[in-house]
Amino acid sequence: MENLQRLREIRSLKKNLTDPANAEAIVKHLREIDEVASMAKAGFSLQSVSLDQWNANGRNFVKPVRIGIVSNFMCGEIENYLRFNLTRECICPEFYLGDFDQYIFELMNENSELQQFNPALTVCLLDEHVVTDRLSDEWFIDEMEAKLTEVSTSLCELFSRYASRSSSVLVLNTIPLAALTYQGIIDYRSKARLSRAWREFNNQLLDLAAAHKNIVVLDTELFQQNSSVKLRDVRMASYAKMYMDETLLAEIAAEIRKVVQSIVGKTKKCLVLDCDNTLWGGVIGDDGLEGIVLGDSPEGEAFVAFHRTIKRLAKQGVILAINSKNDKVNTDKVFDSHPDSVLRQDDFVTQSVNWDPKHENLKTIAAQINIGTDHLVFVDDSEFECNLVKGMLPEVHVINLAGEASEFVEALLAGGWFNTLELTSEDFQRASQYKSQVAREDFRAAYDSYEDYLRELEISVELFVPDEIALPRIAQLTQRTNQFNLTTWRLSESEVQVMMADHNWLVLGIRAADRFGDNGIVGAMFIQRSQQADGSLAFIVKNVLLSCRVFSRGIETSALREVLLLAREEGASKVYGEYIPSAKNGKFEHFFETHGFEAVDKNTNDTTTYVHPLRDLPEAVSWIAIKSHTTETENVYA
Amino acid sequence: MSMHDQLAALIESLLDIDMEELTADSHFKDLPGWDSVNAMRLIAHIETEFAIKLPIKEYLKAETLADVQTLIARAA
Repeated sequence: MENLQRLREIRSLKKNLTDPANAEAIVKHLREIDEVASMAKAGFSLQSVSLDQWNANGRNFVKPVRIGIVSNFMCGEIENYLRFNLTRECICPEFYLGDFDQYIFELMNENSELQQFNPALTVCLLDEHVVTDRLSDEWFIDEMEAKLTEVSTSLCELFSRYASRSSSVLVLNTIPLAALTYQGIIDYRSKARLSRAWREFNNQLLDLAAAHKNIVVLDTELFQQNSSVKLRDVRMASYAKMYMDETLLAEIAAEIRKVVQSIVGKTKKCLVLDCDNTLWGGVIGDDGLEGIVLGDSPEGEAFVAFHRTIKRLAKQGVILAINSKNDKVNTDKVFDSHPDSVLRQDDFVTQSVNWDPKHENLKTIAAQINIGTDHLVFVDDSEFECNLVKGMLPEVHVINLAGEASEFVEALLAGGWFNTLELTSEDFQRASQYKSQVAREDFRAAYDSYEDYLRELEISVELFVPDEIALPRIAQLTQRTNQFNLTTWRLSESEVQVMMADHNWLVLGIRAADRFGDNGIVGAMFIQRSQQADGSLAFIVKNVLLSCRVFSRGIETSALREVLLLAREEGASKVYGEYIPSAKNGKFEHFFETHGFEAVDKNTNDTTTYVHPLRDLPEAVSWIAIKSHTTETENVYA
Repeated sequence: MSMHDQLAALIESLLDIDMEELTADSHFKDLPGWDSVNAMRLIAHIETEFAIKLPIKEYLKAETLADVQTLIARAA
């Protein structure tokens, strides 16, 4: 179907979104649009669709996100590209767009409209005019160097101040040196100085990302490696004050989509790979170990490069799985004994090698790892299999490898499906933690009762107040945990930091370990101390999170019991708990009730509040050794 | 396809309207979403589609689709 045809379909479908099939059809069309002008148009066309319309009939089809945009030029078009890119992933943006060249005021002034809008993400797009507008007409290299230093100092101060005051994630771009500016200097010695000074300017911006946890700096030079991306359209710049070409704005928007996905908890977690003609050339069942193409030839080396890329993703915490129509004895041969296979048997957390339909295998894989199918990326060379999965499981991201192995790495990485703001030590250990998981399952098979098994696991749980090192992991848990996340609060690191500094808040991390190894930080609790009308103190458990890796072991019960004990110690009269249903957390709807709380209130935004009167506390979980600062030392949390 | 249809299709690909709603007398300033960015996009589209170069000052003075068609015819 042509892009124009798709745009017409979208226009007609958006008129009736009470039919859920129409919303899904729009998303499908968006995923097929492949040309820059049509992207802008599709984004523009969807401007009139509200969050309520997307989520008609009480569905939870798209997630909202607030995005503030400021700039030194007319960049309103980026809204359309962002809406296009985000709606494809079922995220509905609401925008605040600052006026032309008002970015300094908007970022600096605490009462600016931008700051009142309270965006989860703030995008500040700048182009070289922030420097060149301040130069004299006959500037030469000394003046340029001085101006670059001056501007970078003031910009860095501006951005640092905004980042430390706001919990919003601030997205910046490095500013490319325009060829025309470069060409205006005619001697090569000065040209070299210009290039150097300009890069130093961008380095100052890049350093902000290291200094502030909520700053992301996009490297604009990398976008320009795509040959269709232009820095500037001179007529657009002159007549419409749009200093960045649309192709560049589209690239920036596509990159911001990756950042937003990680903020709203839509990062992909598991990479599911086909085997024949995906991980090697040829069919292992027909061609045998010596006959497949892997290593030893240019094409074979391309497959090896693909393996290496996948291995590096796994190293950073991406879970790997196999989904292949094969006899397992054959694929095993490759991973066990092919000399050039970089990927080995134990790189995969689970393998579905059989003759079942691939979409069924994907469901099995997601269930085994205990994540939703919407966190899967599926890679296959067969168009038939790809289309089948797209049709049956539209929430899975499918990458169709078009058959040329040298292009596989780019096809896999371009979408940035696994991107995250920051990796934590847990990410680097994930593979070994999943291996311990498999060992636990084997061990479990030897026990008659689940409780006996849990007892023999020798589980220990520790409740602790997070320090700076644990902070990123706590924030990451709020962003990535979907099932055991009672209110689905997504918090940035700086938001968690603000709560930790506030004495009315108690942020607790949960660490767990057992005889098979350390699970690391697996959960968190956010508790507010609240003065009641009658003067007594109450604890409000605003959220409880637990990683799906450690469900059903009583860890949550142990942790909650400690909170009740602490509340009692501090003289609280009651402990409240809150639950907000989401598409994913229904399994834990009765968490508070099963621990002696009673529902007291259900308010309009779906929050159910529960109360525990602190008379009878739940019994200690007999198979868990809990180490908690609540019972060892008083006032550790105060 | 007539020149009008070609032009109308280009405008449809930029704005949230059907090309059938456009006539030779349609004023650009009345089109929903029409702004300087779309004006610049349209000239770029026209120049690619018709393989011509339009004088930008005159293009910016054009008020209706018919005016732009005249410019295209003159440049071709």
